[in-house]
Amino acid sequence: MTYQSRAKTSTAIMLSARKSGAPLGWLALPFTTGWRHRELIRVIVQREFAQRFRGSALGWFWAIISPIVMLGAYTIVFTGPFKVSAAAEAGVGHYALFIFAALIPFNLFTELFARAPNLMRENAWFLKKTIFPSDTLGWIALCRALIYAGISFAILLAFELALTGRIPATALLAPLVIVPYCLFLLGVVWFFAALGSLTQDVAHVVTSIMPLIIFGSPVFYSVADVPPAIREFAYLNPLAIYIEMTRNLVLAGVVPDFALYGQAWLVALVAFWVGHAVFMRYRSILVDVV
Amino acid sequence: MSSDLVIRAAGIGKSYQFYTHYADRFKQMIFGRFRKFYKDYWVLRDVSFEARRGESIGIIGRNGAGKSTLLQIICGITTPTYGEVEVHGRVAPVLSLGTGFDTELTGRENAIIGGVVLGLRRADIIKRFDSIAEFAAIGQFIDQPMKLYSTGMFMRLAFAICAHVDAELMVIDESLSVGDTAFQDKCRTFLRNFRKTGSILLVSHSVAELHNLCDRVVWIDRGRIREMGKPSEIIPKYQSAVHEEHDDASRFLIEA
Repeated sequence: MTYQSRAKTSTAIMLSARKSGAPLGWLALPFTTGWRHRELIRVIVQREFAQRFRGSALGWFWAIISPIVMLGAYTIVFTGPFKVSAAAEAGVGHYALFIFAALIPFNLFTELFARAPNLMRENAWFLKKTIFPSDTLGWIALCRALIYAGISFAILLAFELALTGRIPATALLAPLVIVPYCLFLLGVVWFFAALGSLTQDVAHVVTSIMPLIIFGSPVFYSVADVPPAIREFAYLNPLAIYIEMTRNLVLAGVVPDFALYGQAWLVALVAFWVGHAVFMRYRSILVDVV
Repeated sequence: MSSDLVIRAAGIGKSYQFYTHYADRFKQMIFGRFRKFYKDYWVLRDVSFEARRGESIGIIGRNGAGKSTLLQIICGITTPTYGEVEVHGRVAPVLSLGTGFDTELTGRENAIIGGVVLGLRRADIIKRFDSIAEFAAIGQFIDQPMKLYSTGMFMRLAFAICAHVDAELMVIDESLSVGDTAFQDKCRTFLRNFRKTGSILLVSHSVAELHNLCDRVVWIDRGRIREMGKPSEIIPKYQSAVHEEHDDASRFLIEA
């Protein structure tokens, strides 16, 4: 390991990017740092789970039971009397599945979004005392949240099979949506982690707008239910793109529209690079502030 | 740039920003290029020195002189406000107590994370774990949460990990003095062997330690290098200076 530290961090980052060889090295930079620290990410994610289930007799069972309870409750409540037109139009027999399929990507977002502003502060003891690459905190938070989402996803598919008797083949394409979604989430985490360590206010803002996000996102309704006059604006919320596409793939068996899919990648990459750039720009200051 | 250069610090300075009002922080972020909304506290100013492979450098100075900040900069934990630092090779930092451990985790778990943070592969650190545990010599405590550890046990484990990561530069911040004599001897033996291949950067208030372990001593006074040279020359000067100066608050002045 050889490194240089200069007064201006941005130059240092550019230097290391240039050293990586490729003329567009800065584009790959967020990925290469993540890849270089993959062992570290793995070890820390492992210990977070080990720690969480230590001292509980049933361990992993709890990670599985809570999504089952939630989906079970939705199924009981929405089977029959509560069946809403939104579900019928989306071609989904069971509104519970309809909601749950949206809640998985939605909760993935809210968990990370809520945690991001305090990410640096929570790990301050680590950042100040060891040579810790702070941008890996974003990857670690994502991996952790993804594991829970994965459990919920498996339960969703099991329920779908039990209730409707089939899982559309397009469910296999879900990773094609999940990958750009993860990049989008990482960008969000980095951006708010940087902002949140500069001031506590960001954490408060995030907690207060959180309840609003769920109504602005197609969780209880689908974009098709939005009045035509404002339907175009529904996708201004990036979450809508990913939620709709995931749900259509997994439940309705509908392959996303090409333009929408392109938009998903565009939003993801812009968020990813901007988030990373902002984080790296302020990284050296953050260690002194938190 | 010669290949055996391990540390090159060229005119580094570090200031921390002190804000009188919280809102000034935002003003600084937005209008920072036009006006300054904070007070500077210069921890380090114009510090330049080099260390070659196999060279051990001691750093002395009074509390608040900037020693720990200098180590943090060398380790890459924080960046200098101005100047340039170059470090070649793997650094193992035994920084002042509480070295990056999660106290909820056991010593074993922390050792694995600590080793990976310093650039080892997980498999390698597991392979070396027995040797780490033997060096730390804290017995059954290795599998207990670190919140149950004593200060000495913390330091034992921290040093044991850093001794096993194939470092080329060991950065040690006043931590040796925490261990008991037996452990200090063990560390000293280790460091004497380590010096044959690697470099050491050591902050210490112990004169004997500096005499024993260092080729050169850098004396830092209020953020600046006051003198640099052989331990036998610098340490007596430093000691007599400390006796003459008053121990008052004037050395911690925040400038407008």
